[in-house]
Amino acid sequence: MGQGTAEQLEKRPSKARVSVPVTDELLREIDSRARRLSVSRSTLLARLLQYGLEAEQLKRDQRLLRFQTLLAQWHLERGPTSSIEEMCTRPAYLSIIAMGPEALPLIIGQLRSEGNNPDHWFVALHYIAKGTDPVPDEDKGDMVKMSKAWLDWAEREMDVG
Amino acid sequence: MSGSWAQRDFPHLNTGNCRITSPATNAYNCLAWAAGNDKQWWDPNGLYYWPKGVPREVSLDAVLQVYERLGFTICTGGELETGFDKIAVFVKEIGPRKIPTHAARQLESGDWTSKLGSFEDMSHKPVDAVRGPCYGEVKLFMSRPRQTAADAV
Repeated sequence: MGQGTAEQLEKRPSKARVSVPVTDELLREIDSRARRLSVSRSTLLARLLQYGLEAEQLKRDQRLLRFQTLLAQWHLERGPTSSIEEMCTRPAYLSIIAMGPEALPLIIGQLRSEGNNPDHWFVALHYIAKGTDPVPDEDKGDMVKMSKAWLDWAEREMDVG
Repeated sequence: MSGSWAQRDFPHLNTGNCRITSPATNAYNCLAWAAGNDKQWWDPNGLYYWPKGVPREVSLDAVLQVYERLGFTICTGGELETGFDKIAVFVKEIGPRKIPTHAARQLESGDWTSKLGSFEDMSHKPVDAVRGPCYGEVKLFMSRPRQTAADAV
């Protein structure tokens, strides 16, 4: 026995060791800050790592929120147009393109979620992926096949979960 | 009538002159639908389908060439003529530019059918019930001898 409650286990620090090369100057800075906070070097580093991960998650959440807001705005802006030029030069669509490579996993995720009724993401993907077009000529215009070609491309070329 | 579009985009549509005939879909657009195709989105953008040999440009001339390749020629009007398929091409004029915006196809009943971008397709009468700020006005009509189902694109 002696394994403790779930709560205790959650709070128990892991004994995992991580080795990271740092300069002497950085090490002195870490130790100085640890002394000011009256914590050990390892506690300070663990906290910094935790903050870093949370900040990264926050950034991802903010990107997703921005993408979803622009997506909703685009749907409102584009109306009943049939023109790809008109549809893909709406401010919200251009803002998604302007998000650059960070938008790629979001667009691919959105395209995947749209299943058999994919939306017009191909222009944005084409621009962000620097002119890539994985759709064979014979499949152009067939939205489901175009979507599949891009999803396959993402599997090959991107680290998309 | 309860489509995906905003009333301001089609101020002349009402419950008495149109009927929704499909769910909203991105699978095809008006240019394809006017040619009887509900499997493709036709657009001059290089990422999309566009008939071979037709300039990939947003121009009335290019749209006319698309339908000429399918046997259509410009005709005088949109009245129902036995034995003929007809389409109407809409244009929005912005300064000197005539921007093609929409195509509608005449049904055997004399009503017209339109696919509204990514929204639904619908039958409507008259043909210019879909005129307005988005599609502009009917610019011209084209016709060809009626195609059988086997001839359809």
